[in-house]
Amino acid sequence: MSAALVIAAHEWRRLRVQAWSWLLLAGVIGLLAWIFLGRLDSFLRVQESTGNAAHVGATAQVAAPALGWLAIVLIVLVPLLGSRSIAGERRAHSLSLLLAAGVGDGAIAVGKWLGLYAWLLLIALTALLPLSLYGSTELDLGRLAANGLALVLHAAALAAIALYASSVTAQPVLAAALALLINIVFCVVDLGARAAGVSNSLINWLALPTHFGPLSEGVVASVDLVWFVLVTAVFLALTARQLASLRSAD
Amino acid sequence: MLVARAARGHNRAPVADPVSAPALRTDRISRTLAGHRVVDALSLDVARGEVLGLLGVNGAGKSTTLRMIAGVLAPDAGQVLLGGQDLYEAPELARRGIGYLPERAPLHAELAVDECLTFCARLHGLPRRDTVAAVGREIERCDLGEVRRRLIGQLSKGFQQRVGIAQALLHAPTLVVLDEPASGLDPVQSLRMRELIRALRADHAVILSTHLLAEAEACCDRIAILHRGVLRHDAAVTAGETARLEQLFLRIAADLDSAAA
Repeated sequence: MSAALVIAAHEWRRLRVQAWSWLLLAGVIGLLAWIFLGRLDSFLRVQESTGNAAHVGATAQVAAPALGWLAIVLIVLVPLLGSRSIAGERRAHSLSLLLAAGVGDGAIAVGKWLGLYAWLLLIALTALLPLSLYGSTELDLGRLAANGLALVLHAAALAAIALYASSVTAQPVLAAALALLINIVFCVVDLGARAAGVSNSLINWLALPTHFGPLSEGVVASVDLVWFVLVTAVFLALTARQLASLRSAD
Repeated sequence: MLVARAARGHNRAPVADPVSAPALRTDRISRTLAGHRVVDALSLDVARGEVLGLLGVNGAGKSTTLRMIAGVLAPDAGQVLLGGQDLYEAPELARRGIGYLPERAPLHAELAVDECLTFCARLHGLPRRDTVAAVGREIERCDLGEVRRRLIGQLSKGFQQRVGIAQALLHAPTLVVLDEPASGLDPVQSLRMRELIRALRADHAVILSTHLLAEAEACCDRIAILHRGVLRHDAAVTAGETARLEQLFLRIAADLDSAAA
């Protein structure tokens, strides 16, 4: 486990010294702030016109939608951030450093994932924006906590998917495209079933919105938590397997 | 005749005793890549305190052999034994006994030299309390003091190679594997690299690949010549043998090329 933490700290350091990571972070924070303030402005206009002095409903009208947007942004952002994690190392011929060290493939996968995930949690700090309303309105803290949990789990799964895609190819651009494709498939896999009025089948269970939706509405169910944990674990296992195959393939 | 000499050591049983076992033994290792037999039933021994030079023309199978020895690429057949222990049976422990410098130094250009070496030391399992001393020791041994705070991406090829060697030595491995360590260096840097490799003999077994006969003669106690994945020659080398090695090298290439035709 300590090897995984060493790799995680190294991955974090590599992200930290790249201007690209900071630009993406700044872009996301700026976008989220803009969405949040826009929603807040609309909310205040409606409240003034209806005379709701207590500003009841700020969580549902301002905070939850802003965090929902953050989840969508992460679907695009995480493939970009994670694409170089292994593909970039293969391209720069530095992966042999990890493969030749006395570190297991699982520890490499977990370490890389932890480093990327730690960076994503920095972005997820923008989820604290709605707390700025605390004291001036009636915030539903339970629902906000559920939203935060949803984002943390969502980021974990997306990071594992991005890492797996990055292990499949030595081209970071292809890795980003593959991760984005997997994310989109998870988002739309049950669209057909829903259009046909089916909402309780296996295909629905596979879809990301099926599990993110209830959490963002404040309903914390174990089935949704298990889905995120499973997706994360499966893609980490696939990454470790892919690393092992790099030792037997060229 | 050459083939008969090269067959020395085939069919040897693995040596289980880590004290009497050679630092490295490859027992008939083979590897096929993209349908082409790159290394074919290669058997080699490297003793502690010995520098073995692996020679061959481009495409002879040197880098593939070293990758198998370093645990980066699994052989299709045969065994790699480190101190008598199969590298692929307990890979994580065994790899800690190996320091590996691939043909392109596996360094992160965006990190400073001491930052990168600290990471490598920790990666190889050195406790935090020993890391600073190990990094300092290798920075001194590889003469990196003046660049220790500079970004690796800003260093010359010679310095980058030295950082590559330093990372391979941090954890005091039994076996040091160097793939063309002097490749791309200017004459002065090459001389310094040879001195460094000769000095490694005191503490490590070393196997290095090169296609430069003069370099092999200057650094190595023994030379093995690979051609098309097959070991064609394996014998001790003494000073002033460059011309003889050159003849041998050309004969091996010519023998095989005419046999292939």
